[in-house]
Amino acid sequence: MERRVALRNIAFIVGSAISIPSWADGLSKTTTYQPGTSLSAEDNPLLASVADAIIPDTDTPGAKELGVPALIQKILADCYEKEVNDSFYKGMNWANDKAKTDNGKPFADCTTAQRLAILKQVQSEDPASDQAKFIKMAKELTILGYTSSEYVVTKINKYVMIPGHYYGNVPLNYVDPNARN
Amino acid sequence: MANILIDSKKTMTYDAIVIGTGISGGWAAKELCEKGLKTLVLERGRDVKHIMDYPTANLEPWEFPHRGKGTLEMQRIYGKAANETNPFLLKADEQPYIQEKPFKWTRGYHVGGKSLLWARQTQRWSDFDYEGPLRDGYAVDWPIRYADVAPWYSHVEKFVGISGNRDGLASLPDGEFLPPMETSIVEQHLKGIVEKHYSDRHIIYGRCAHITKPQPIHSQQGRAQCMNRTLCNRGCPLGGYFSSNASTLPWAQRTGHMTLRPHSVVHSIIYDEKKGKATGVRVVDGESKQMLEFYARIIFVNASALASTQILMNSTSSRFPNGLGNDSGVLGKYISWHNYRGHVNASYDGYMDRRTDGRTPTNSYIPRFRNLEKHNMDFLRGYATGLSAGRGFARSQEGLGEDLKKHLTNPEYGEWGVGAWMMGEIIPIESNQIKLHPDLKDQYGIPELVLSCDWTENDDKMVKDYMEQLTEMFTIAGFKNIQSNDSHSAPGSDIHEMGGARMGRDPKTSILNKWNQVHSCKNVFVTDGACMASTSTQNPSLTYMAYTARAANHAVEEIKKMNI
Repeated sequence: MERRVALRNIAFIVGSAISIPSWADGLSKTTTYQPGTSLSAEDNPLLASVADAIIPDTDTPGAKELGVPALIQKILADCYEKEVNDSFYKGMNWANDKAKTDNGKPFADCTTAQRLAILKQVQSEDPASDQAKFIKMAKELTILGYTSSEYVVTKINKYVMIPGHYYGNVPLNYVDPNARN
Repeated sequence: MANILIDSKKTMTYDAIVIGTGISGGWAAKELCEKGLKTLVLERGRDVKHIMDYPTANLEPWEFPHRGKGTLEMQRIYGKAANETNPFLLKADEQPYIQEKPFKWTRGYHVGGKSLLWARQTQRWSDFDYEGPLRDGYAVDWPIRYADVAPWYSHVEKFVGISGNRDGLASLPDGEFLPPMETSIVEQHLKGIVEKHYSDRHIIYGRCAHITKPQPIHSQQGRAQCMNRTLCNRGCPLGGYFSSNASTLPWAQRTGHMTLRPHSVVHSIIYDEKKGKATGVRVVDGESKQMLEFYARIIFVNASALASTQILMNSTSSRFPNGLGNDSGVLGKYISWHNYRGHVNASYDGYMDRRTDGRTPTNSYIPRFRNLEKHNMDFLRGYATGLSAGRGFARSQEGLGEDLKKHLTNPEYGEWGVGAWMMGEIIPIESNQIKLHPDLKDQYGIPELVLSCDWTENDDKMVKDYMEQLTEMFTIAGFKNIQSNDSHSAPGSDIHEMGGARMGRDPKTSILNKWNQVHSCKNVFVTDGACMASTSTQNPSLTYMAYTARAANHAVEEIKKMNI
């Protein structure tokens, strides 16, 4: 245990002394939402309700509680071309309109069952359509954000950066004394 | 004025110049500096200082602002494959090349080169490998044998730190090993069954350049035991695996004899017609684009196989109109690589009460068994196999809502997964070659490379046999869902490109002699992948390191004897 903590501390100290080289400029420049991309601030509740529908908060945190909607917005803005953003936005609005037609209220106000029903319909649309591409991407990014969140990485997956060992044969119920809990 | 010029020429003059800072360049720097030679080490890319320049090494998955995805800005600079975790990307416009046939050329243009990006597998060659060309007549006979290289393997292994088991196999000689890493119980299961069923097949711990038990020589380098982070390619802050950055370059620096010059793109080697030898190199400064000259008594070319060959081809003079040392006309020809096309995967439902814990940076290894003692297949040479088996959670990305969440967080372990990949020998043929484009030049004014390399029928036959044999072994072991696949990946995808300036006994059919010296220009040494007369199946880096140390030792002896 001590060895692991000590190493982590060394690693942290070393890490904090790093000056970011020029290749990493992109990291700081584009991490904030830039005007001109197709996601506007009022889309947030809709996007949040979509991510929430895909991975809901239950007895454990879901996408919403883990801040995944904001992350999706950031990744879309920083990592994808405008055309991809436009298509995503259109597809998301298509789902919202569908909610209004089917249930008489916006997607965000629908019940969990209604939201899932709509998203499943969106999934069954022509794969080349904006709406089908939207749900595919929304699911992909929600899963990415969720599975790489600190909560899932540490509490569910019990990932440790520095295991300090590899054992090729342990009982199924083996508990690494150094593992996170 | 004249005096200033003389002075400046003096400051540009060294005992030795090393071109490149990767696996072999780092070794050339270390050996030459240790022997007291004032050495200029040239690197075409930026500096990468051990630890300090590993900005992502200690980041947790959630600490990446885009969870690993490359921003548009990064994609613009480094290409579509850019990602946040890898700080050692090549700029997309750095060095264009022309593919007459598809070729994937992976380059490490920064201090440390591909020694920061390698898979760290380190297997020695045996005489079965060295004698391949002589036996079947394809390619030229190696001018050296295992006995020539063995002491140099030992020399580099002790310094590098190689974990491995002494297996006593003639096909894969033992080395100077630190304790081996473990392999999983399912790999052990397969080993037991395969070794019982076949007299000629063995499954061993993959020997790798990871420190499992630090020796004083490793502590002196400031390197520590591998802690199984398996984040190796972000740079290892512990120096747990070998890289030029963690090991040879700081060691060379400490002698006080090394001058490291990043942003130095070598244009060509200067040949002095009167002296009948090379006198230095022409360098384009990567930032100012100015042409500079540096001078030295000996030159080590370690720019990576294709880039080293490119430098020789671009080094023309009245004596060598077709490239330095190219009297034979074979410079740039007989380019080869490794055949990694075959993959076989399976699952296994035995040992369901067992699992693994922690992470391993290595894998199991099946040394070559085809055409080993005698040639008896319908293809030439053979293949080695990388192999690993592990067990993860039974998770899927099915469904939406609570269903999806349940799948993503399933705490139950699934069946064992087993994967095997092929490492096959390529037969070097003349038509697999590179040349300089007559007109197109890169941003440094250096002619672009034209690559024309393709698979042969021998490779196809070997992939077929590989998939059959692995399927057979997996079947005997009781594995299920066995799937084999020929990726048909482009040559070079293995990142083991070799040849271009091959070694040989006869100057009429080779560029380098048994000491990696250019036959006709003895003070130029090429000790990276360009020197390879054949490829065998082993991951090549360890062999480059051994050749480099051996050649550096010879160079210094020759200097003492005033022969060069």
